[in-house]
Amino acid sequence: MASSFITALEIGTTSIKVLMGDVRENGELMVLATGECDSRGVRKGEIIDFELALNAVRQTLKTAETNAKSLIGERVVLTASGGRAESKLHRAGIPVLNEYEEAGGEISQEDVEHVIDVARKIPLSNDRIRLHTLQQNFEVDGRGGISNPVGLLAEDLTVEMLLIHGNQSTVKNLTKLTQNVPLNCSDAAFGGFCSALAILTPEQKQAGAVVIDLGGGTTDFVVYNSGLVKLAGSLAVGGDHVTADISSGFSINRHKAEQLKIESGTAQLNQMADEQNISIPSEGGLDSRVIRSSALHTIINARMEETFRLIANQIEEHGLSGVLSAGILLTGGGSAMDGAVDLARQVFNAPAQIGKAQDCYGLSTKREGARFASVLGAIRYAASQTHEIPKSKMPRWLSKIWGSKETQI
Amino acid sequence: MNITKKILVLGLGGAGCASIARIAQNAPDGMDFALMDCDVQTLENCSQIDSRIAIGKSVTDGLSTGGDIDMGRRCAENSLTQLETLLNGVDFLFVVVGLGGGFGSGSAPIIARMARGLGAHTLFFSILPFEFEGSVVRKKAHDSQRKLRTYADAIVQMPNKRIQPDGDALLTDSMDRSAQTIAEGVVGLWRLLSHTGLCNLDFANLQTMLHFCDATCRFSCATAAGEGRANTLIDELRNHPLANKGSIFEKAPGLIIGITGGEDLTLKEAQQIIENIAPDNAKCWIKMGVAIDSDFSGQISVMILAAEAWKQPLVDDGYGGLKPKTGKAEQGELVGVLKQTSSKFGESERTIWRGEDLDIPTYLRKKIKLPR
Repeated sequence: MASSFITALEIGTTSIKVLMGDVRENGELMVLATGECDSRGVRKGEIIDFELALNAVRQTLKTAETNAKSLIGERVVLTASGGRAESKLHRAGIPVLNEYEEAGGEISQEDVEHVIDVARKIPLSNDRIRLHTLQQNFEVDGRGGISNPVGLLAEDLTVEMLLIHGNQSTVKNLTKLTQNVPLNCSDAAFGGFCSALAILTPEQKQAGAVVIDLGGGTTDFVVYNSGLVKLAGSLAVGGDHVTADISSGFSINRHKAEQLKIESGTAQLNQMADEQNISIPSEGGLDSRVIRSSALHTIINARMEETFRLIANQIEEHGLSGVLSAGILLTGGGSAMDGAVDLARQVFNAPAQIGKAQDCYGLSTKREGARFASVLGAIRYAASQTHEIPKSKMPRWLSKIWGSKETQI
Repeated sequence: MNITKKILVLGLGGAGCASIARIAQNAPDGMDFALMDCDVQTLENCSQIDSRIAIGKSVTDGLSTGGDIDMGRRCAENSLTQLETLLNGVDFLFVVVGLGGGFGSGSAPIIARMARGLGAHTLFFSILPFEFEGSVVRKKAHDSQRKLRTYADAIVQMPNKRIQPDGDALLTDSMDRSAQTIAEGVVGLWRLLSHTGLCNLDFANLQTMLHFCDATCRFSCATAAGEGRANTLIDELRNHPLANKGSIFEKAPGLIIGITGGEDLTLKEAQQIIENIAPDNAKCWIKMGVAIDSDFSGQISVMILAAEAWKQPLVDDGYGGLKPKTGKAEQGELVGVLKQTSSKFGESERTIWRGEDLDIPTYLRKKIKLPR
């Protein structure tokens, strides 16, 4: 298993990342090489120019191959979000029969497999595609919270499944792109979920945590509680929106706005901070000008607070806001924004921090860990897949229950 | 009397609470007041008002902030839920605040921001310190005012110097006078908004004004009765301490003139008042409101709100107009069918979340004014 490394590919709005690595027997993730290039032809996590995106992906893969001094292997996993991923809770029950086919009896392993099978068949509309089906706790005769029902006496056995589904055309086009590279892409995984896999410890999953992946075009989030994924989703709002807001607010071009965001941006609106003026040098016939730092911070703060607020509202709607003792973990490029952690702490009223990759070796700095979280997690995800179901030719995202081990602690 | 929108008058900090306490003594029925301070003593002194909120207990332990703006800000930030409960459901918030101290200056921007978030319109009556209070206090007031401009819809500035009578007035008289001036403004505006008039002045008119006035307004008000009351009134309006001898009307790019009178109010009088007050400027935006109140028979009361500047909001791409804060869910579905694209994001599909177009900058949708 250690011999065959896994390649994770993320086609993001601002950058394309490739990470080659493998998971060892003791659970440590060894990074072999990384490759990163500016993304082209992708907006809000969706492909808008196929050729441009294809070339960018090829270039990134080449960089990674050069860094690794080896070729991309057989196993490639793709992370996808597309900004429109959602989660849906679905439950299904079966009657438990005893050996005389009468109601009531001991729950056997077959019963458990049967009920999971039934629950997995969640109806989805045509434009959606399932990314993950995550098993929740069992319910025996109306009593919930049972992690392993085998051996219990019961009449009914019910199980809940959390389905994470994305936009079909987005995911299909991303897969098609990788096939055109050409790559043998085995799987597509939800970016936010992968980030959570990379940075959360079992204790954090148990205590309740929210992982927010602040990407360029999309913001993904996953909510864990009692060791299980309880809610996941994605918004097609990201760092690009912050840049666009700045560029429209000061009537400057995108490039300038991006520069301004990185150099002087902060997400926290410090009411007491001293005013500063930021000068924008003249360029291309436009006059140089001076803007107020507070105006810049107001624009960024408004956008980021709104993004966090939208996520917080969804968490609250699902009644999960009270159980986030491990707090908020930020990953993705947006987590590097000054003040983002403090803002998250304020909005969610919970502790917040930048997510650090767990048990991972070979990445240079901690900052890298937050930016590469989703690809790191994708490798963990792909590795765990092979534990469950050894080599299968069919596309796995159509037929899997991942993580019965990982999610049931 | 017809009150459909909820209007709340809030006193913030020591000066604000004291002013509200004086206003409340002669206030018409139906006006809602609330006081807020971190100093328990201030609140105890204003026991005639029921809704008194002591906030920031964990920060100051019931004492004042001692002039520390940062502490005032923390007081407000630590009591966000209390603030939210108070401001929930309020459509229009008048805040009377004395700037230059600790609590008022620190918490006002937070309150303005929260009110904006909850969909309330805010009008701040900010009392600015005397010149002799020193440059430190004045700088604090100035800084706080600038921060307030970002979130408040409008600020009516009332420099203490202007609202005090000249000469050797007693200190108590002088305080009474300043509270009186504020009271006239607050009550006058409240009356116009809450009474349905013949020529109605409604929220939308005020909103238009607030949208363009770049956050600073002046006001003037006067009441007159008897023979030649219209002329007396015009003189009084011009001599109002904040009117600066009428110069604010001449330069104003936008005016709201609210006239309240009894059944005996004549058209000629209304015409005379407006003709004399309105500047000789075709571009000036004028909105007149006339309300008839039987309590005012024999007298006329006029309240004028004048904009200091008239600017287009910093960026106006047509999305910033009046529209309900939350759209309907059906809208999102419709957009899904039409597949609207956004040119800013490479013609990709627009991000519609529960009826709100997230591709439009947040500060435009939430109508947050950028500090200039």
